[in-house]
Amino acid sequence: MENGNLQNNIDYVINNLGLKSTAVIKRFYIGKEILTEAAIIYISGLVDKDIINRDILKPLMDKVNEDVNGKEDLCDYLAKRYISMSDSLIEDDINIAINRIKKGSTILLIDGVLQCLVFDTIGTSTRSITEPENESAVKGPREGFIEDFKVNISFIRKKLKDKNLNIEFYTLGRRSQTDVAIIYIDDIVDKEVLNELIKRIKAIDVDDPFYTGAVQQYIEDYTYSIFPQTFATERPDRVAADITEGKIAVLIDGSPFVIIAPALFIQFFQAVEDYTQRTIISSFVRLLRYFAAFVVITLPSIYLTLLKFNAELIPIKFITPIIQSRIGIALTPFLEILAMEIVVELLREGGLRLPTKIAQTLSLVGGIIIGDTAIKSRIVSPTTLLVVGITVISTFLIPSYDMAIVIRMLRFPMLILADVMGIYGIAVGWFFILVHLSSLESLGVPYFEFHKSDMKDTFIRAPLWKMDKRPEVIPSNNATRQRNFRDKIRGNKK
Amino acid sequence: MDKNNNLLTRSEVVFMVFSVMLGVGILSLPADAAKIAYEDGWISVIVGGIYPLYCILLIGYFHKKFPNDNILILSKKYFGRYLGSIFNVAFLGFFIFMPAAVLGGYINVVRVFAEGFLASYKMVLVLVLVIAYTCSKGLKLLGRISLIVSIITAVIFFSPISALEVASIKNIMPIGKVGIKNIFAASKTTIFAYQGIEVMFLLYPFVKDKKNVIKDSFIGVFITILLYTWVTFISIYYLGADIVVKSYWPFLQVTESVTISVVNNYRYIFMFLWSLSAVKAMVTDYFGGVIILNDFKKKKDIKAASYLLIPAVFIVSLKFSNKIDRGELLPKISEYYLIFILIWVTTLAVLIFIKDSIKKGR
Repeated sequence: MENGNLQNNIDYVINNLGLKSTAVIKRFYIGKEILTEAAIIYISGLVDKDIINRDILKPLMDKVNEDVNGKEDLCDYLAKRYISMSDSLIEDDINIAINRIKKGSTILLIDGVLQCLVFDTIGTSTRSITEPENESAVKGPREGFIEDFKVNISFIRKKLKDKNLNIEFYTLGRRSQTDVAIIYIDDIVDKEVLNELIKRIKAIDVDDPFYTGAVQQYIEDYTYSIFPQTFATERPDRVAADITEGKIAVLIDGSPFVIIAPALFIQFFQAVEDYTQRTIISSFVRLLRYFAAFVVITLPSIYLTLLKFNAELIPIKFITPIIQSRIGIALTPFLEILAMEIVVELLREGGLRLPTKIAQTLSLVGGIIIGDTAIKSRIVSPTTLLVVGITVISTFLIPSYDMAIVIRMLRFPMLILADVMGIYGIAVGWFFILVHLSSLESLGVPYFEFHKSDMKDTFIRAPLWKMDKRPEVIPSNNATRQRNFRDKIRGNKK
Repeated sequence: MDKNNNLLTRSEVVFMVFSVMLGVGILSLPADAAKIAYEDGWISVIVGGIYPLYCILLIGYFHKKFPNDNILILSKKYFGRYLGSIFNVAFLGFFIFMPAAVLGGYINVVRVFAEGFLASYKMVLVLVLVIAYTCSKGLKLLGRISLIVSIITAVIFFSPISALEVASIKNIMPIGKVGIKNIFAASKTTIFAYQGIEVMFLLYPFVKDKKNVIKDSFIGVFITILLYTWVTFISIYYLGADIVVKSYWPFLQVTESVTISVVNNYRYIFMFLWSLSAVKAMVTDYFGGVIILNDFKKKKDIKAASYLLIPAVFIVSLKFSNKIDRGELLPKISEYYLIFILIWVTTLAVLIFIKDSIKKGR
């Protein structure tokens, strides 16, 4: 602060907050005989007025029974003597104070004093903590991130009390000045990956980063790849688990999604139940998911090639009913499958944002009426509908929405390849998918790479107590996650 | 962890060595081996394995002397710039011939068994483009792909295990009937199946674990020999040498003995998996060509080199996708190249040895 003139300082603050902002200025006097003029400034809507009235105004206006004029370190004295709030600090730089006002703090300016007091009076209403709808777990914690930045950080802090848990703050967006936090465990994370992420976050130069999904796109490498290269989740337990594996979490103010980077392909196929359920069951379910992904991409194409090119491969007992069901159908198998797939996509996209009540009508009309009439009006054969139905159900097995939509999209090019080139097309398509996946990287970490030691937690889920090492594919400074404590339980002292 | 590191890891070396050899050979190898050696064809396959082992031995020697220079640099260094370059061009020819031969062979099989409706030039074109795209992504990707695809497709080698039950032991008895001379003569024909290992002459400097590169290559070669022997053995064991000789792709016939209740036969799954496996082999062969081509260019750029090689491989592949042409040309070219490479690398090794001895003598 350049001088202690109260009016000058108020003007400066108001100018920087914007002349047409909703800032509130409350002027008042402190003191018994000789009155000292003071003012508090805050932005209405961001603060909790009760706190301001009770803990700032009331003590300063009522309780000050002395003359404070000319006292040294007046701010310090007032804060220590009269202010009953825990979170208050003295600030010399008025610009920092202004930034805090924008986030919901209240400042106290006193005439003739070169410092100001900043109080944490943030009091916006937040959504209550609920289980994330898109990532619910049968067996697992029921809390999900909300739109409040501080609450979200506290979730992670509560789960990881390690002293090495680092939280770094950045501000993003020219206009929005959104808070961003990067959270990692210092002695696990690979510094090269961390620096790369920080470099990219810092480089973002936009008006407003808007959403987590936008930030994800700003920091990823391959814009035109259809695969998600960072992972977004609403579950604090997942974030905590990933941080302990050496990954880094990025929290953005106002978003209930947390970005985890670097992301791996297999991560999108893992769910919370994999770790809360028993080993064999989890492994089975996990294999089922990979199988489902394969089915979604390939089953319609295989069905098409069998019908169109390689009928000799269909067992004789199946071929009779298939042929009978196809009599009188005008569409070619390709168009038939494609049409049904597109109808399903229409239903899915339509149902996505509908209110539950109307969504029921959609599922009734879509699922039952269209399905039934499509067969009766000889547009598609029942077998085709069966195949498409299985495909649709399989898509629901993929736990991550981001990945499910990618897998769903992949079946269309595959269908075209199969239509043009048969089984050879499918093989070429799959080879291409594998090549593409292997060529991707997330923050320099290979997206689709397998290590022998990681096999415990890739396609199957080995007993948790056997996972002594952190995943090798994610670079980390500290490879050991746990000791093989089961030997002690079993009495084999080692 | 190998972030930003484009070198091959140990398991990737094993699987690259394995991938580059195991292409289309597995289907036709039993027939080639049994043509001269009959019941003892599988022994010839083992004997044929001497070739890749010899190559690895020489690579081990080069690697020991010059861990950072591949054979292209050594060739120019020891044969002089012009002669060395001529040899390198010839070697480039080999890596155009190899992927094209594998590709042609692959197209042949697929067209007979599943794709009669598609013209071979279309199939060749699509495949060459996919291969070039794969190679343009660089060596590290090839390592990953080799590893992943090898593991996914491992099932095709073991699928005919059920054939063991029904086969007759008489089909392979008496062992060693044809005599050592014929076994050796037959092993010459099995060498085409092992060709491709030469790519390691180019790749050995790009390995992360320099100490174990030779050990890993040996493991790769041993797995290959083992699988080839198994493939030949089971074909002869199940079908008998007489039928094996008359069949183009005996191993495919053996796999068809596998019955899965829902699918009428196993051919579809086999074709799918084997396609992945074959493409993987072509990619590695093709990459050999890319490296050599890149070596000749002033501006080193794997991507450009990958796409530059397309026309040559496309044209040669078309030639090889004709069964008759293939049958006539392939053994000849394969043999010429075998002789050329043997003489070239052996001479090179001898030259290095002599120069080294002279140096030490001084």
